[in-house]
Amino acid sequence: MTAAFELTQPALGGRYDVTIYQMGFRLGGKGASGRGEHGRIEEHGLHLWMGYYENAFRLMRECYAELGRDPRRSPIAKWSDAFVPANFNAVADYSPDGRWLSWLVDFPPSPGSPGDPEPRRWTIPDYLARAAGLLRTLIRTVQVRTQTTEPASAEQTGGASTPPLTTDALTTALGRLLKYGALAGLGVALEATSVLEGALRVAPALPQSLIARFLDALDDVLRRQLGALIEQDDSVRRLWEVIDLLLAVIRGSIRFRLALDPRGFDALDAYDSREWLKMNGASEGSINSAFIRALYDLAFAYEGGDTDRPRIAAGSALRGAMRAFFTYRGAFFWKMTAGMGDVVFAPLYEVLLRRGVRFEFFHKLTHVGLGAPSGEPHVARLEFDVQARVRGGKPYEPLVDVAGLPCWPSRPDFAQLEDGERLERETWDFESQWDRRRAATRALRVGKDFDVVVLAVGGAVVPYVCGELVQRDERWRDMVEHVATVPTQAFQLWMNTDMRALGWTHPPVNLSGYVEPFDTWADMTHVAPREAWRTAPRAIAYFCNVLRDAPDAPTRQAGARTEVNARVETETAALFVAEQYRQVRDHAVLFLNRDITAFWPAAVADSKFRWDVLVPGAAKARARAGESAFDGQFWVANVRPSDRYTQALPGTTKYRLSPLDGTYDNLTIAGDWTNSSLNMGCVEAAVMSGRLAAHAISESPALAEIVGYDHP
Amino acid sequence: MASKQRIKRPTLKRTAPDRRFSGAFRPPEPGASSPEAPNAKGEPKSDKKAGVPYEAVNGAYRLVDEYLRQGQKMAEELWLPQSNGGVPDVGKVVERFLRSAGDMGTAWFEMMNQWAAGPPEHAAPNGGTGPFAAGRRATHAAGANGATAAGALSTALSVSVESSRKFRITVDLFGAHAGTDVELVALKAADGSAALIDDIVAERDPTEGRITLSVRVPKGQPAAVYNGILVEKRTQRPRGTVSLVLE
Repeated sequence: MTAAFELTQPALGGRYDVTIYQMGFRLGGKGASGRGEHGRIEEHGLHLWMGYYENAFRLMRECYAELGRDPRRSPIAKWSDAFVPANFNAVADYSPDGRWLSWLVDFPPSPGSPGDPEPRRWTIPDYLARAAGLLRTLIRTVQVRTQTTEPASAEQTGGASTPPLTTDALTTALGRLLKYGALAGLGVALEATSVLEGALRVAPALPQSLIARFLDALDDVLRRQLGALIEQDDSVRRLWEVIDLLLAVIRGSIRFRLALDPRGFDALDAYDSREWLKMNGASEGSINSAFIRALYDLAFAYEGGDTDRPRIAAGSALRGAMRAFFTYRGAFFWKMTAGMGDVVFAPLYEVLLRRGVRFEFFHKLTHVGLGAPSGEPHVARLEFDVQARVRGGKPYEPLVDVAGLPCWPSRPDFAQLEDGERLERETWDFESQWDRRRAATRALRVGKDFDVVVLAVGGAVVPYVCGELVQRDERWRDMVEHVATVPTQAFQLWMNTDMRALGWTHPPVNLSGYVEPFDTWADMTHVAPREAWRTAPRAIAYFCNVLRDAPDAPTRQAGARTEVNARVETETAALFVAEQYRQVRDHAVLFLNRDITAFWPAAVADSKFRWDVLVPGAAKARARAGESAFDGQFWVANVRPSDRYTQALPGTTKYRLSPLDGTYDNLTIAGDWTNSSLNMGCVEAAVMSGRLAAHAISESPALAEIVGYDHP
Repeated sequence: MASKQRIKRPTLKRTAPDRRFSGAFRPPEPGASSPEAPNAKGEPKSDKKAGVPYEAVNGAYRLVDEYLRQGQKMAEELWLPQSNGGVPDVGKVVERFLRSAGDMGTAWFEMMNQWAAGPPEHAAPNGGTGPFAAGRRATHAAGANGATAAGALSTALSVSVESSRKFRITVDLFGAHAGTDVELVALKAADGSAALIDDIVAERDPTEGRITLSVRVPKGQPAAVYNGILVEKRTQRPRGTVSLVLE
C-alpha cells in the first residue's frame, strides 16, 4: 500500500498505472481489521504505533491531508483524530517474594509529533550519551526512592510519578542513603555518569580503554552501593536491573566499536539480545527481568512461538530500543482510535482509488513465473486464483459504514459475489493460502498485463508463490529458510463494568511481560465510541501473545493441483485452523480464570472469572452463562501464512533481501520481512520497505527521505 | 515481447544503507518534503551521491576533527585539579581517570589491548542464555572487563615526534589488526589556524610487523591541537586518529 501511495504521488505526474491484486475482501494483511456484530472492532492482535514510526506516521499524515474529510461529518477526519498518545504503560514484574506487581511507567511527552519534517539523525555516540543520561536519572531516582521509610508500592515508580528533585528532596535522600551507608558511592555514581555522558558523546576521539576502565569503575561503585538496596525495595531492584542493562549496552557498544562500524547495530545481529547483554556484563537477574521480558513480548521474540526460546537479534533489538526510548516524538506509544483497517487501510484505499489505482479483490497470487533462464532475470508471468467473481462484473465495494466511519467488515459481502450464498454456506476462507477453492484462474503476462511487480505478500506466503525463485536463486532460498515467522494469538473482551470496578485503579494502560499464554494486555476502552453498540461497553480489553508452532500445520504442496488434492488440502487446513482457534479459546479461558486476577482482582470470584461481566456478543451466546459467555467475545489464531508475524532471529538479518536488490529487473519486494534497514516485524518496517520498493521503481522518494534507512 | 522492449527498473545509485558515522552529518537533501505538503511538482529527487572513498575519508576526517576538538575541551575541563575537594570517592574516580589520561602524554603510544581489538569471536548462537525465569534472584555474572577477546590480534603502532615544543600525543585505533597497513597524511590544526604538519613518514618493521610513524614538527609551528586520521592503505577506510597537542 505504501509503494502504491508513493508511486502515485502527484509529484510523479501519473507516470505509473498501479493495480493492486488482493487476496480476499480487505486490505492490510496482518494489519487488517474488520467490523463484527454491533460494529465491534475485530483485530488480528494489538497494534500499538511507536513514537519513532516516522515513516508510517508521515504516510498517514499525508494520506489524511489528501483525504480531506469534513471534521463535522467524520469522527476521524485528521491524523490526530486517528491516533492518540499512550504514554502510560506498565510492565508485569514478578517480585522475589512471589507476587506479580505492575511497574507503572508514565513516559514524558516529547516535543513534536512523529512524521514532523526533518527528524534528527542520530549516531551511536548520541545514543550512548543518552544512555548515560538515563543512567544518571535512574541513579537519582534510586536516591529519591530511598527517602521512604517503607518499601514503596510498585505503583509509585517511574517517569512522571517520580517526586521532583528539589534540594530538600535530595538532602533527605542523602540522609536516607547515609543510613544505608551508600552516600559516597551513589554520589560518585552521579558524578561519574556526568563524566561518562560527556565522554560517550566524543567516544571516537578518546581511547576506548579509558572509557572502558571508567565504565568499570562506575559499575563497581553501583554494584557495591546498590546491592543492599535491591534486597529491600522492588522499585530499586527494577531500577537496578535497568541500570545494569544500560551499563551492559554501553560497555558492549564500546567493546564492539559500534560507533565506527559501517554496519551499525547490524554488527551485533549474530547474537541473541540477552546473550549479548550477558556477554557484556549484565547479570542473570537483569536479562531475565520484567523490562527485558516486556521487550521480547513486544517483538513476539519467541522462536517457533515457544516462550522457552526467547530470541531476537541483538543489533535489531538494540536499534529498535534506542529509537523507541530516545527518539520518540509526542508519545512513546500511539493508539489508534478505531480498528487498524478503519484508521489506516480505509483512508489509504480511498485516496488510492481517487488517484486512479485499480483494486482487484479476491485475487490470490499462486505463482510468480520467471523468464527463460538464459535471458535477463525478470518476472514473466503472474498467476492468480480468482477466489470469487463479483456479480455483474462490477468492482467489489469493500467498505461499510459504522458510526459514520468507512470500515472493513470482518466477513466479505457475499451479496456482491456470484453464487455468494453457496460460498457463505460452504465457509470459503478467502484469507487463507490453504483454501484452494476458486472460481477461476487468471494469468498476467509481462509487457501485456504488467511491466513491473511489487511483491508485497506476507513473508510466510513467499514459499507458496515463489517456488521458481526459491528453486533458482540461492539467496531467495536462504531468505525463505532463515527469515522466520511465528503464529500469534489474541482475544478481545467487551465488558459491562468499568476497569476500576474490575480492580484496575490506574489510568488506561498497555501492559507487557506477564505470564503465558497471554503476556500483553491493552485497555482499549477508548474505541467504544467508534463501535455501534446500543449500550456501549464500559471497558474493552485486548490481549495477545505468540502461539506455539504446531507440528501438524499444513505446508506448501509441491505436487500438481488436482481437484481431489485441492479439496483434501482445503478440508485438512480448515480442520487445522479450527483446532488452533479452539486452542486459543482454551488459552483465553484459562488465562481469565487463573491469571487475570493479578491485575483485575475484582474480576475473579471463587477462583473463577466472573463471566457475567462480559457483554453478550453473538446472538447464539446470549443465553449462555458461565464460561460459555466467552463465546460471544472475539479471539483469533493467526496461523494462516499471511497472518504470521515476522521475527528478527539472531543470525538472520544477512538473509533478508532488500527491495533495492536489482537482480530481477522488473521485480521488487515489500514487507516487514525484507531488509528495510529496521528489520523488525512492525508497521514502520513495512512502510519503510514500501517506500524502498517505490524508490526501486521510480527513484522516489529519495533514500535520504526514508527516515531511519541510513540509521546506524 | 522481446526483452529489450520491456520496461525495467532503473539502475540505482545506491542499494544499501549508508550507516557510516560521517553520513550522519550529510546536509538535508534539497526538496525534502513535509508530511502535509507533498512534494512539489518536478522530477523525482535523486539520492545524494554515495560517498566515494575520497569523500568518505574527508567526511570522517572532518567529523573526527570535531570530535577531537570537543574531546580536548572536555578533557581539559576534566583534567583540571578539583578545587572543591569533593567527596573522597569522587576524587578516587577522577584520579583513576586522570591517571589513565596521563598515559596518553607519552612520545609514543603502543596500542591495542583487548579493548582496542576487534569484538570477541562469536560463539554460535545457542538459543539465548536460557529461558526467562521470572523472579530468579540476580547473580552477577562475570563482568566483561576481564574477558579476553577471543581471537584478538595484537598489532603495534609507535609514533615518534620530533618537536621543539612540548607536546602530548594521543592515538586511538578503530578495528585495526596485525598486518593493517596504515598511513597518516597530515595533522591539521583543529581550529584551522595553522599550517598542516605533513612531514610524516610511516615505516613498517618487516620482522615485528610494527608500524612507526615519524612526525617532524616544523620550527615555528604554533601551539595548537593538531588532528589527523589514520587510513588503511588497502581499503582507504579510517582506522584511527592521532591528536597532537603542541604547547
